[in-house]
Amino acid sequence: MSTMVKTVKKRKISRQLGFCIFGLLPIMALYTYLRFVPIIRTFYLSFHKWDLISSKKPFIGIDNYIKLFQSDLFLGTLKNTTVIAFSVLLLTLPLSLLVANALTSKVKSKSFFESIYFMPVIMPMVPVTIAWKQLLDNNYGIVNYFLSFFGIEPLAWMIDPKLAVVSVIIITVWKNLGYNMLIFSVGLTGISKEYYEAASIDGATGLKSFRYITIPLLKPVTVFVSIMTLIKGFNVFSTVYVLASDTQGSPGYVVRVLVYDMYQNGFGFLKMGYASAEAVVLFIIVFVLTMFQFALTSDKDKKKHRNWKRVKV
Amino acid sequence: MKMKRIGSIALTALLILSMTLMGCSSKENKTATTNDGKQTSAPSNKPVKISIWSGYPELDSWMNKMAADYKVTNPNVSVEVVSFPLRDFEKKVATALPSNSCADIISLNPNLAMRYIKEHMLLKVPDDLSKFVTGGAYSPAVVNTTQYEGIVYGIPHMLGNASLYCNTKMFKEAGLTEAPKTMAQLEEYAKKLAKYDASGKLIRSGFSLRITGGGSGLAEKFWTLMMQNGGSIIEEVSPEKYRAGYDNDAGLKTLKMYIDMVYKNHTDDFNLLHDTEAFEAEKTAMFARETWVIGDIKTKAPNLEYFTAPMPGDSNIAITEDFSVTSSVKKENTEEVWNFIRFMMKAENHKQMTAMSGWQPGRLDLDMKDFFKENPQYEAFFTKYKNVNTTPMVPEFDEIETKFADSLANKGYTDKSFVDNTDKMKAFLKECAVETNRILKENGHLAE
Repeated sequence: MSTMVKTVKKRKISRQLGFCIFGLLPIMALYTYLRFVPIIRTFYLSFHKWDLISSKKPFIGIDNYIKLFQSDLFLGTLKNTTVIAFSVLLLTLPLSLLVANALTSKVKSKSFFESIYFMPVIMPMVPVTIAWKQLLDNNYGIVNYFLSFFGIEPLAWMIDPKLAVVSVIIITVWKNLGYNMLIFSVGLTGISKEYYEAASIDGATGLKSFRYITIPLLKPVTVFVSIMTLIKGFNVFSTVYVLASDTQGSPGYVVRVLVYDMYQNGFGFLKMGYASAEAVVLFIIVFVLTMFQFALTSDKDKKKHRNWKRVKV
Repeated sequence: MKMKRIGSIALTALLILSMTLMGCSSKENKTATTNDGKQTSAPSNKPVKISIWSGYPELDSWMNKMAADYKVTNPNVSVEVVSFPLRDFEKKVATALPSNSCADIISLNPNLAMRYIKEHMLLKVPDDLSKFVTGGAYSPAVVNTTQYEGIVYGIPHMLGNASLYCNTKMFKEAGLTEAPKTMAQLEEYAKKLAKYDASGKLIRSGFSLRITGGGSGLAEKFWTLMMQNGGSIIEEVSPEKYRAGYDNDAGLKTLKMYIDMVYKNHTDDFNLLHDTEAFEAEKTAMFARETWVIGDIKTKAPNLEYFTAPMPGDSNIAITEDFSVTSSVKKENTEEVWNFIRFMMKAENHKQMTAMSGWQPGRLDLDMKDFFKENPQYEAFFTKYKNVNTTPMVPEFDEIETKFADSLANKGYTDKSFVDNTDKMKAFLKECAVETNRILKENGHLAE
C-alpha cells in the first residue's frame, strides 16, 4: 500500500514539475536567444576579422587577442577601467555601509534619508552626467566655486588627465551609493539583535560591536556588494561617453574605458572581431569576479549550515 | 528515469524554440536590389513615405521645407526627416544598412560611403544625376570622391571648409584692420589679441585652438592648420597607397605653434572656453571653423560683430556630404526617392540650404552674388584655394584621424616639456606616425 502511495506521489510531482518546466520554456527560449546566443556569437566573432558590413568573415585564430594585448591603447584602457572600478569599490563600500548603519539605528525621518540616498540610483545616467558636467566645469562649476572657499585654485576636472578619471569616479560613486546602502540595510536588518544584546552584556558596544559583530556577520552581503560594484565599475560607459561628448569635454583617450573602446572599435572603426575580443576579455573579468564571489560565499555557507545542523542534533 | 526524460524533452524543446526565434529574426530582403538607377516603376498616386537621415541637425529646417514644398506638387509623398549627432549617425548607419533598416536617403561622407558601395548597399545614381555631378557643377576633387570604379554613387549637397572668424571690436582695440594672411601673422595677431587680467591670467584667447573634445574633429582642425604649412594627415604616395603625412617639418611647425600658443606665448589656455562657444561668448578674438557657425551666431549671439576671412595660406580642406539612396529603399519607391533628390538639388532650392542651415552647397554653378550681398560673411568660404584636400578615400581614415586626435589631446597638447624641445616633438610625431602607418598596413593601404 505504502509503495502505491509513494508511486502516486512521484507521478504527481513529475507532472507538476513537467508543467512548470514547459510553462517556463517560452521565456527561457527568449532568454537563451537574447542572452546566451549573443555571448556565444561574440566568442565566435572574436576569432574572425569582420567589418560588420562585409559578407566575408575570414577566420584569423587568436590574431585579435594578440593585437589586443600588444596595443598600448587597449592596455591603457584596461588600466583606466581597473582604476575606476577599484576606486569606486574602495569608496562606495565603506560609505554605503556607514550610511546604512546610521539609518538602521534609531534615526528620525529614516524613510526621508533613505529616499534621498536612493534617488541618484533611479535617475537616468545621461541627464545626471550632463548635470555633473556643469558642476565640474573648469570655469563656472559649483564644485570649483565651493573649493575656492578653501583657497583652492580652480581645478581642470574635465581637462587634466588624472582629474578627468577622478570625475568619473565621483559620479559613479554618487550614483551607486544608494543601491549599496539599501543592500547593506537589508543585511543589517537580518542580523539578530540577540548578538548585540549578548555583546553589550560583555561590555562591547558602539565601535566594538560594529567591528566584531556587524562586519563579520555582514560578510556574505559585503562580498555580494563588492562583486556587484566591481562588475558595474568595469562596465562603466555612459558617464564617460557623455563627459567626452563635445568640444569642451575631456579628451577621449584619457577616460577611455573598456566598454567605450569596444563601442568605438565595433561601431566606429567597424572592427567587430577586435571589439568582440575585447568583449570576451571583459566577460572573463566579470566571470572570474562572479566565481570568486561564489567561492567566498557558498562553501562557507554550506559549512555553516552543516555545523548548525550538527549543533541542532 | 522519468525525471531524466522530462529534462531531456524540455531541453530539446528549449533549443528548438530558440532556433525558431533565431530563424524568425532574419528578414527577407524585399527592398530594391536593382542597382542600375533605372526607373523601377511608373509613378503612382499611392501614398509614398520617404525617410531621410543626416548627421547634421542644422539641415533639418531646409530638408523639412523641401519636403513641404515637394508635397505641394506631389501630395501623395511624405518625407520624414531625422537627424542625429554626427558620430552617432555614422554608427547608426553602420548597423542599419547591413540590416536593411536604414532610411531611404542618407547624407554621408563619401569616405564612409565607400565601404557600403563595395557591399552594394548604396544605389548608383541615375544617368541624368550622374551627368549633373560629373558635368562641371563640382570641382574635380569633389567629383572624384563621388565615384567608385567610374560610377557615381552620391550627389554632393554640402561642403565644409574652414575660414577665420574674427571679432571686429577686438581687432579694432588691438589696432588690426584685417585678418592674418600667413601662419606667422596668425601667431603674431594672437599675441596682440589675447587679454589678461591684473594677475596675468588669460581671460580671452587670441586664437582659439581646438585642443579639447572627443572624436576626430581635433585632428581635423590640426590638419586644416597643418595644410597651410604643407602637411596632411596621410599623403598618397601611389594610387591607393598612403603613409603618415605629418611626421615632417609641416607637422612639427604646426605642433610647435600649438605648444607655443598654449605654454610659451600663452594666447590660449585649457581652462578657457573654446571653439564656437568661446567666440559667441566673446572669450576669443579669432578661430577657424565652417560656415554653419554663421547660422549659429545668428541664433545665439545675434549682436556679435565679426567678419570672416580666408585661411592664412593657399590651402584648405573640402569635406563633402553626399546624398545617397540606400538598399533599404522599397523597390516601388525608388523613383520617387530620386525625384525628391532632384527637387532638392534644383539651383533655387539648393541655394536655400545655405541661408537656412549655414552649410555651403559646394557647387561651382550656383550664382551666390545676391546671397553674398545680404550675407557677406559667407564670401570668404567660397575662396578658390590653390591646394584643396578632400577626405582620403580609405575606410580606415576615421580610425587614423580619431587615434591621432586622441594622441594629440592626451600626450601632445598637454605636455609642457614640448616647449622649445624640437627633438621631443619630433619623437612624439614619429610615435603617432607609427600608429597611423600600422593602421594603413593592417588595411593594405600602406606605401612601403
